[in-house]
Amino acid sequence: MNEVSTEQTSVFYKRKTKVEKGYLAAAWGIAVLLFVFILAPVLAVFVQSFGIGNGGFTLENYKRFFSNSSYFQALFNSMAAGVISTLVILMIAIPFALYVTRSKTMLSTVYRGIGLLPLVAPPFIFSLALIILFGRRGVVSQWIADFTGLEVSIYGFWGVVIAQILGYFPVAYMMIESSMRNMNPSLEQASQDLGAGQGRTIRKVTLPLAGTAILKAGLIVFVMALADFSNPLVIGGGENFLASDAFLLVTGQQNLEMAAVLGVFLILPSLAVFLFQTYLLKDHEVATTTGGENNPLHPKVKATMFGISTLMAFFIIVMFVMVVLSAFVQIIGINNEFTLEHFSDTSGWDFLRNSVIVSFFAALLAAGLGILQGYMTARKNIPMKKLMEFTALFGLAIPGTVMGIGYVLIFNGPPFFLTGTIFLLVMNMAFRKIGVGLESGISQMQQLDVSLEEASADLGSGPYQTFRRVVAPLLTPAFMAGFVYTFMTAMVSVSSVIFLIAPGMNLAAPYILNLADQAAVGRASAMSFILIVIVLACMGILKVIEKRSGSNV
Amino acid sequence: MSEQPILQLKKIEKSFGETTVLRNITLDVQEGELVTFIGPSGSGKTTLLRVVGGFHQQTGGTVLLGGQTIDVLPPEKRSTGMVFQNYALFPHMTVYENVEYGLKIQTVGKVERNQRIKDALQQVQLDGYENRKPSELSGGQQQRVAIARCLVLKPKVLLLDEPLSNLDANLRVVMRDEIRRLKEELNLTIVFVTHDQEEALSISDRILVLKDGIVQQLETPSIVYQRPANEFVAKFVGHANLLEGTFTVEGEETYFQTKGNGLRFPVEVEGPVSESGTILLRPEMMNRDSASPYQGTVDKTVYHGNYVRYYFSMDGESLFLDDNNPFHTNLLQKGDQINVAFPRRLHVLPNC
Ligand SMILES: Nc1ncnc2c1ncn2[C@@H]1O[C@H](COP(=O)(O)OP(=O)(O)O)[C@@H](O)[C@H]1O
Ligand SMILES: [Mg+2]
Repeated sequence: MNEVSTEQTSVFYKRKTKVEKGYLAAAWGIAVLLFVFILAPVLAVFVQSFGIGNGGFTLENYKRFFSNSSYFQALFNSMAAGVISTLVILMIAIPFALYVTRSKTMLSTVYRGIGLLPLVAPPFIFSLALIILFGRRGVVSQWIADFTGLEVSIYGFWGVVIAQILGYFPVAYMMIESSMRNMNPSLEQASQDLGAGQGRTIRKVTLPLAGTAILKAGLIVFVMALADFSNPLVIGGGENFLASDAFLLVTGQQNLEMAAVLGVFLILPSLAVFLFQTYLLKDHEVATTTGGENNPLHPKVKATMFGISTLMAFFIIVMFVMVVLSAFVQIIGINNEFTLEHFSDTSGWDFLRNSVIVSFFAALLAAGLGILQGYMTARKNIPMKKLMEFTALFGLAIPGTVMGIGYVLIFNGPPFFLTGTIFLLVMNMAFRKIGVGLESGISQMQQLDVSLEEASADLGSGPYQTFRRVVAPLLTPAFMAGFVYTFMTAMVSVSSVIFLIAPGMNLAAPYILNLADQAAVGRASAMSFILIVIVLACMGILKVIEKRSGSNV
Repeated sequence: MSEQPILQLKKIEKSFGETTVLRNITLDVQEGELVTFIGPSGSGKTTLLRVVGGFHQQTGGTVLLGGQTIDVLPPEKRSTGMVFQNYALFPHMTVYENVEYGLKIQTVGKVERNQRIKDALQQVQLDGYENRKPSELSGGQQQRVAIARCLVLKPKVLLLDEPLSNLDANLRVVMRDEIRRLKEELNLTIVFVTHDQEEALSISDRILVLKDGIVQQLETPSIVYQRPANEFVAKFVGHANLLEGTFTVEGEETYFQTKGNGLRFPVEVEGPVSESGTILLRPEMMNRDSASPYQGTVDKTVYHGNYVRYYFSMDGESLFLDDNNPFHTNLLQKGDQINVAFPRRLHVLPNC
């Protein structure tokens, strides 16, 4: 129903209004930025992979990719880890979401929080935790060694898979949960009324209705896991994976062509998934809730869901607790004496400050420009509207590693020399996330009736005044949502910015990754702990501001 | 009341935590009967219906279906069929699959299933729509599918929660007649929820008026309208002038007089005459009549087309009447004199 009305709206506008000069200028400005900071780097990776720029078109690099077993192994490992993690994540996220949305207890709220907790931590937090528990000198490894004499090591393929399962779980969980929460409860009630028991209702009604969300979640998690960069680096134990190998090719061997080839193999699946879900996947028209509550689960079904959720929540919590503990003791498992030594890392604090500054400006830029673009997409007949929307959303889908390589190719030489500058870090993070602001801007505009703006015009205010006094205040929630999300992800992201940092200009997350990589577990844990606290605190502050301003409106 | 009622509610109570939503509700529904729950928003209509359907567990009392208690049965084990306000059609299934859903669960064989689905769709006049998705149907058609989906299972009682409220005014009347026709043809037992008094009056065999979870009256539409049990019912179902006053007998005639020696006119009331009471004067019961000695002053005129509503003052009382054939009379304006003929036979509200 939304679609119909927006179509009418845009038709209406095509006929009636010309775009004001200011919006036209803004649109061109955004278009140029989107090109420079999203499209150009990706194109550069393609171009580089064919050797263009270094002496003409060649397929030599691709031949090398397929003839060198370690590259091919990387592709295979990344794919396999992606598939396994995705399947396991879905098998846990579905019952977890069912349990949380279908029960109203305090505990289910707590579980929800735990399920989302990994989002505020660096993506490799579970690798770190797994090393603390099962590494060569890990807490559990030592017990096992003491009792059985067996050497346990978590390093390698399966370590990566476990870390991915825990780390990417919240992404899938969030999407599935929101679809189950918004499902109209009367559909399930109708199923029951027609004689179906709970099991059947879940199979025949709930899951098919959440099917699109589940499929989307699966695809996105798969692409993320496939392009996972940090876990293979920390816990991969030297096994080959696409993204980490690409990074090592760039930093270790300065072999940008081969890195670009690996980058292409990272882009292709992402691109396929992106195109599939943007253009082919249509959601069911599930009438959303009219204030009804979700249906409670039968005790038996609930017990199963609860069991699975509890197991998952337990693992997540144990991991986090281990990291926190290891931040406050000398060497966890070996010397458990309390210490604050790990926190006295002055360069670490500097990098944290950098992270906050970069993330703040990136979030401001991503949410601000994204929402402005969203407004213009929904209401103004700006040129290249579809292409700009496509590019911004595509930016969300490109693996960070690819973006990193692309930025190195473009900005690490004439005419730009921008790597290692705050400016480039901000632009990188902002334009990787501008799609979030764009999407929330568009969806917010679709919920607002055009007549509001027409009324404002009718009352005598010009187009810019209308935007400032009517539209902008109404878009504030969308802005806040985009800002919080971008800030949070920027604070913990590594895969792209790690290519762009310089020794003096580092950020917290890549710095911690480096510490973890060097098995400086205590310092890595301490820094992770601070990072998590800062992210949570910032989000808390924003929530408070949001509440305050919300009550003013 | 010779037959065994198909649905019996006995002393139903329902609380959500501290708040009591239904109090001591008792109701028998005969086979083939259409009973409507009516009441203002929040009066507990939906809750009562959902207690019958099994979506709420009552906190007191018992529900019997076909003489058997169904209190412990979950919704899927009750032979009740619910039509939801938003229809709740499964968007991922076709019309055919929606209607087939319950039959499959009952493991009805393919051939019979097919036949029954065909019959049900025919009954709601939707044959030919089998392969459409719900999103490709109009509101009225979706409603028909929702009804067919229940009918095909031959439920003992059909439960409809404000089924017409999402339809536009014309379609509402069409579907109302349609439901009534289906009920007659198939001898359906129906419990119907609405907050629209006109709908309730025109569709029901009996009406149960609810307020704050308490039954105000349970009677046929004409009794509810003509002999409301109390002031609330009188005002909620239809429009009403309610006059408080005293009765005096003078010879053959009984006179009614409002307080403070106000308006006075002769009446006929049923049963023994008490000293005082409240009478119900519906606006269409009074007429403009130039021959009548009762004269008032028009305060406001509202033109409705098929009738004109005059608000007027007479002997210290503010009243309104409907002039039902305004075509041949002159339209009165504010300040004009209005002569009014009062009916003789009147309903006196019980208790007060
Ligand atoms: N699940 C619930 N929990 C708490 N209160 C409820 C619940 N459902 C209904 N109520 C309350 O019960 C009262 C009656 O509601 P309802 O039966 O929906 O009224 P109606 O259908 O007549 O408008 C309302 O005051 C409503 O707030
Ligand atoms: Mg209701």
